[in-house]
Amino acid sequence: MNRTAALVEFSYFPGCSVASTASESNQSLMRVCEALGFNLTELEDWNCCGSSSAYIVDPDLGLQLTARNLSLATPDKPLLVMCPRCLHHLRHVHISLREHQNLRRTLERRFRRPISPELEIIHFLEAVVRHGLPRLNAGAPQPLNGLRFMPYYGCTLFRPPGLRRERYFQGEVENVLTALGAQAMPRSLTSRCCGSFLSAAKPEVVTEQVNQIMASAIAAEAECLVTVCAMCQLNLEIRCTLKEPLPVFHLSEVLALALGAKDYQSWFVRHLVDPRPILSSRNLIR
Amino acid sequence: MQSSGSPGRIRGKIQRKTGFFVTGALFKCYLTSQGQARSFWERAKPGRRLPLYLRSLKVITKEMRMAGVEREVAENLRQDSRTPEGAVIIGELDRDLAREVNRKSETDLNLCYQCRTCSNGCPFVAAMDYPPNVVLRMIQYGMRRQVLECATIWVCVNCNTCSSQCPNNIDIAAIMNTLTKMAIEERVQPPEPAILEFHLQVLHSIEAYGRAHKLRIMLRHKLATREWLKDLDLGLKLLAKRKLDLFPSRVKAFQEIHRLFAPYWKGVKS
Repeated sequence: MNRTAALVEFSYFPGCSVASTASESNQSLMRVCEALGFNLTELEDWNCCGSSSAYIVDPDLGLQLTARNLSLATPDKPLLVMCPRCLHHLRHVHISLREHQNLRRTLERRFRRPISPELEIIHFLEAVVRHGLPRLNAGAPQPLNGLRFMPYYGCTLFRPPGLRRERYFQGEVENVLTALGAQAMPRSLTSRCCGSFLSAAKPEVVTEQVNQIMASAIAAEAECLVTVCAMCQLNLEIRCTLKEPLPVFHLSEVLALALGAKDYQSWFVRHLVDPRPILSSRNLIR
Repeated sequence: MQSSGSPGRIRGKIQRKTGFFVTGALFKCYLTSQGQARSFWERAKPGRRLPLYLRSLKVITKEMRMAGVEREVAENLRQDSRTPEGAVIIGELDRDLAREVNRKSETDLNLCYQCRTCSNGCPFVAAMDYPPNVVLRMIQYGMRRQVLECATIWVCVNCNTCSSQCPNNIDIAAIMNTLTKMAIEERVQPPEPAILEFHLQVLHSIEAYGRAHKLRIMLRHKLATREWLKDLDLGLKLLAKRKLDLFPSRVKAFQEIHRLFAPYWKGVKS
């Protein structure tokens, strides 16, 4: 079964959220990568991609912040990104630098590093689908015992118009987790925006969205939500005012659990909605 | 009420009085011999009503435009205490606005045929003052001031629901970003100061550390908006769960980051 013993090499861009607020996502990602044979090298001295704020206040500033990260990556291995918003910015800037040669040269001079037009930027989900499936199917010692989940993609993953010609991975969370024995409940608001930064400035707006999303998951008879976005995970947990909110998992947590990771307690204590009762009721944790 | 001076000798056509019904009153314009425009109001004849969309529109004639005094008439009207609030004065309109926004956002908003798909899909339309399709229409009309002052551009979170649903492939989120930038550059007072304040705090954090430090952003945001008690319990809960790091992680080569911000703060209040 160790047919693909060779490690798959990636540069890794965590992003601010995954590195701090959602470090449980980061920890579980490491477990998944160990199990799937991904070798992650964190991008040396990466910076914030600008988030939504830089792009709203000044798109040029956002572009430069993102371009610095691109200049740090080497083109010999793909750049794996955890956060959909970071992915969107990195890909979008990369495409526009490929088209605008002069701008690219200016930025290369500024950072004194080349920005490779050949660099491949992929999301964690895409990496799992493209490189991890054989091992995932062969090596899941603990199937997910029919856990009913709602796949929540959020708004940014693969949807932005600048990336229209890119691959579209809608449905892959369901495919991956269903293959591991979970049940998908996708008849819900799987790609409704959670409210992003309005959570800080206009929480009442976000609460309304989050409650709708959560209610749709409950109506679809899901037991939990699985999301690919750390920001969404936080918003769904902190802004939900329903009486019995469902727990929200990071995709990496569920994958790591299925792949037999043992240090799940340290991730799950960081959740505001304790996911452990549901997992124990499915005999997924003890 | 009558303006001083008789219509001048600028051009024959202009000399006649021009009148329009506006919000139930008759608006008259004169051009003086120095080419200055004067305006006054009369009560409209009962029974004569404007179509709804023209009620708050103040019309500047072609003749005035040809005489190059439309700005002046517009200025007069803006000063006039009888001008209804929120009135659109055509002389103030910026006929190049659509072109400017198109160039800056690299999309073509003139393709919009007002199907309202964007507004129907937008999850946040309830928090906006104008739905996105109306913002596009206002840009097409050249209503620069109204567009840059509206809350919609600040409420938009770039979820791209509108952009991905638009049948004409207009990148509406990019247009919103362009407008927020223009509003900052022109120092328009934002109708949603808390949102701009939040963005600036995020930028300050990125400038200081190269990364977003959420605890600092939230504390500074509270300081700026003076709403200490709002979300206090939530903040404590997050701290207890160790979701908020006390200390920021930093970029080592902060000079590189710093340099990116250097030309930037000149344009914005810091």
